[in-house]
Amino acid sequence: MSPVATEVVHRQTATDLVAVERLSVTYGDASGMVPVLREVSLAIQSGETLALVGESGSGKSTLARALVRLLPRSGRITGGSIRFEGCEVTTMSGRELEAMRGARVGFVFQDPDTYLNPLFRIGRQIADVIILHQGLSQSAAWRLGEQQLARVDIRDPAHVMLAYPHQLSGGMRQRVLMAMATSCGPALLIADEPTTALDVLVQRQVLATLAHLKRDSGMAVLLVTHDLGLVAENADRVAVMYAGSIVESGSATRIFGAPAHPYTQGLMAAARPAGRRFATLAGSTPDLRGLAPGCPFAPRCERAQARCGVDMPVLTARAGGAVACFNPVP
Amino acid sequence: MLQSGSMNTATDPHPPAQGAALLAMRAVVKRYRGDGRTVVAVDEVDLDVAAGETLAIVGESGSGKSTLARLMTGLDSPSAGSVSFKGQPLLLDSLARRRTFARQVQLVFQSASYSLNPLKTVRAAIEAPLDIAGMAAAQRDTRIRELLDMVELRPYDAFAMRYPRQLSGGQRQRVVIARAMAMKPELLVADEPVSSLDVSVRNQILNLLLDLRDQHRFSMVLITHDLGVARGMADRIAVMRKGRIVETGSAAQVLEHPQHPYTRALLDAVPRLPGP
Repeated sequence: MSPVATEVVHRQTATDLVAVERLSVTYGDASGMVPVLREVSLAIQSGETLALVGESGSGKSTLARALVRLLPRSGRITGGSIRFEGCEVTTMSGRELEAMRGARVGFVFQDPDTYLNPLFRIGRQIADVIILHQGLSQSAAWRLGEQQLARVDIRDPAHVMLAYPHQLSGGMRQRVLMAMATSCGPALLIADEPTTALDVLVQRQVLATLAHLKRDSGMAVLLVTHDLGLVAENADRVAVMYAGSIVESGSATRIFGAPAHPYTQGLMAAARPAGRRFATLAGSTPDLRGLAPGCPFAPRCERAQARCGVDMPVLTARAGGAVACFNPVP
Repeated sequence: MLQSGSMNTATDPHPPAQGAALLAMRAVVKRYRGDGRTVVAVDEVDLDVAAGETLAIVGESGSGKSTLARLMTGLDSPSAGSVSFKGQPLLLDSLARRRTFARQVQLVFQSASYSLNPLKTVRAAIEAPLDIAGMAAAQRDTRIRELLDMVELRPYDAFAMRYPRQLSGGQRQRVVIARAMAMKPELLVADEPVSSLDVSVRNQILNLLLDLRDQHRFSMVLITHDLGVARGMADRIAVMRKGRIVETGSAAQVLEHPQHPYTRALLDAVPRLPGP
């Protein structure tokens, strides 16, 4: 008894900073092509925090990286479009991409050590980014770098500028990356599991810094995470991914208050405090190499109907968001 | 009263061993030397594990909780203080003693990828401890089938001859658990057994541990940074910080009425899901 499905495809509107339409990405290796993103549509509004949640292999990191064409070598965009500030990203030249990355879009990833060079002082690394994108002099870039460190709540910026990465704690290194990522005043910050490697007390502090950076600058944040608690406390809107598709999106209040997709509901139950036993989802995430037709969640779904094994549901508008399900939770 | 070294018993830092304690640590210190300095990983810890209980040790990275797990399982020996098992000091100075102890206490590590040999099949991984214990081939075969069934890797033929890389993360952790169960341990020490797993798989493994504990009645020490895991699994919780235990108590007491400011800070920092 599903309503007439009207697929939600985000046509770019005035307030859309990013509009992704039917984006498909495949990874190729010796054993063939793997569809990692399957016709994903998504919009990010200026100034909002959108959380992209899902389990490993859901495609959330691939989507975040595809937005700025930072896919691994084996990854290819095979269809669809990405518009950022009105410009088509999928056809941008190398120079246009360079201009967008770092200047208009900043990134913070899970493991700061991958992105900080252990051989150079923090100050030089921040200054280099500023010089590259803003063309400032060495000394002006250094001064701005110091100010950036202060903005991410580093108490002794002058001292930290002279430190090497290994002399800083994990939380400090993540702050340094946040300072670098936002030094040019980007319109969008992509934060992929930014606090996953951090202890819970440090995580809380780093997220507080992220929140006030965002408030001060008005930038949008794409927060990629598997941690639903973190999403509930930090996101305006949420998109839930499963097996390369967005299965549900909507305001954080709506998603947490009344999840419509059975997968979202299962994820939430699993993340809530356990009573006598832990809530589980039966089975495991599917192998993207050999996806059966129909809804990829159907084999694990208690609400699955005959149709779910045949047709792939598309994202369909629903109060406060959209859901891709023939038999959503009422 | 099994609490020791806690705020609640601060007046009596070294209570006598309880009759019911399966494992008892008294004034245990572990120092590591390196880079010309000494790090005190575990600092004067008193802790009991009662027969049949599940004790969660929670704390942040660097709090010393994994070192404590190594001391409990005899993988490391303390710099000072004593660890005793069933009232006997833990002396692993001979192969025979080490083998006897290894039958009774098993450790499950965080990453199944590191604790399984990539060149050995599932069957071979589980067979190793049985072989060392001198079990005959026919009995080994029966026991391996039992163990795989116990951790719900069914049917046997679908898993026995697979290599770790052919398994999912959750399946690998099941193999590690099956191997730990091979010698019917009295104490299972699990060091972050689910921290590398996705939440839906994570909960399957936690439920499996709960079921095994209920069926086989072993004691469990669960090392975790995740207070939600501790809440669902443990009878008692010990909170560690900088090598010391700052608070112990029943799970309900520690989580609902934390006494130590550090415990309170930890609980406050956990991001919360709004109610359904």
